[in-house]
Amino acid sequence: MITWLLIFLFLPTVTLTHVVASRLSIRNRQLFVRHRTALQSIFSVILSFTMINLLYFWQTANLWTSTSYLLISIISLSHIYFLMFCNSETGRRYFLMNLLSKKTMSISELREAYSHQYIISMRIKRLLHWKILCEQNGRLQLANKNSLRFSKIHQVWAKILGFSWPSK
Amino acid sequence: MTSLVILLSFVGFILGLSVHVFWWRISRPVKDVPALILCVIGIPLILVIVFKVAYPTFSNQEFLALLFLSCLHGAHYVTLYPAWQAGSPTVLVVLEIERSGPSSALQLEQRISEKLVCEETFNRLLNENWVLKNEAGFLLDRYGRSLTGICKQWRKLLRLPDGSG
Repeated sequence: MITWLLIFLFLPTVTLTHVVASRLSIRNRQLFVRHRTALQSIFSVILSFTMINLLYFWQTANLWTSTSYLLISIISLSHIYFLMFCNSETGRRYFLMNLLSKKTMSISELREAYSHQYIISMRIKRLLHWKILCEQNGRLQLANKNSLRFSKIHQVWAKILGFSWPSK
Repeated sequence: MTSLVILLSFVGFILGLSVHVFWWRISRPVKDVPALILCVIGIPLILVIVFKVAYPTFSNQEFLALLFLSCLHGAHYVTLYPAWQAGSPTVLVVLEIERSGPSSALQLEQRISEKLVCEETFNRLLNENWVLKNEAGFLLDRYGRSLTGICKQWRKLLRLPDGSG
């Protein structure tokens, strides 16, 4: 019963913790600080909920199965929460929908407000900040292989599903 | 709660995922999100119900735990799906640098097609009925307005400005 209660309280608690942390954060105008604040809020709730569950089931037969069930559920919920947050920060769909929620726009107005150049330059800026890319003599190169591995996994799964973009 | 619940939830999800891969490879549905929900949430749920009917000794608590975890795996995959569907520009930048070596920002802008980065995302918004077209231009549909409204309220609560896209 306690495991169920923790799972159902998880998202409201994460949201509340995130709201408090974000309001207290002084430098939350910076995207990287905002991401860090979201992750810190999520991890603190995961840790405290896991501890509560462990203490409740300590020395009972259900300890590992209930804790595994709780962890799988709350890690999944956390990832969904964080993805939603990232989408509202940097997602193309949300940005376009946000533009259209302010006024009706023609295709040329949309192109001007959210251009191909803007999208690419914003990604380069972020990748440089996260030290995934580095700049040498005005040329961008990969600074760490982990992001490449992640991108390759992404590409392979898109290929398996038959999407056209990996081969373009 | 037993480890059987956790195991069965993954088995159900993998079966749903296999159907999704085969369906997409044969012919990707035009309205792919409802079809995806059917595959990764609908199929595992049907399997859970069949399992409960076949094994009445499976307790109601375990049945509900399995039902919830199966839905959660499916919902998790559905939230990840747009990143594969749309070809994330961040992934495209990294892959392009790996493919053609060190490049300037201008070269990257030229090599990564506008069609892939902008047009396809916008067309999907139209296909999925989030955006409508009238004589004056493009505007948000009812669902699009509701979703944007929720996100705006959430960001207001977090005291954050609009996302930078």
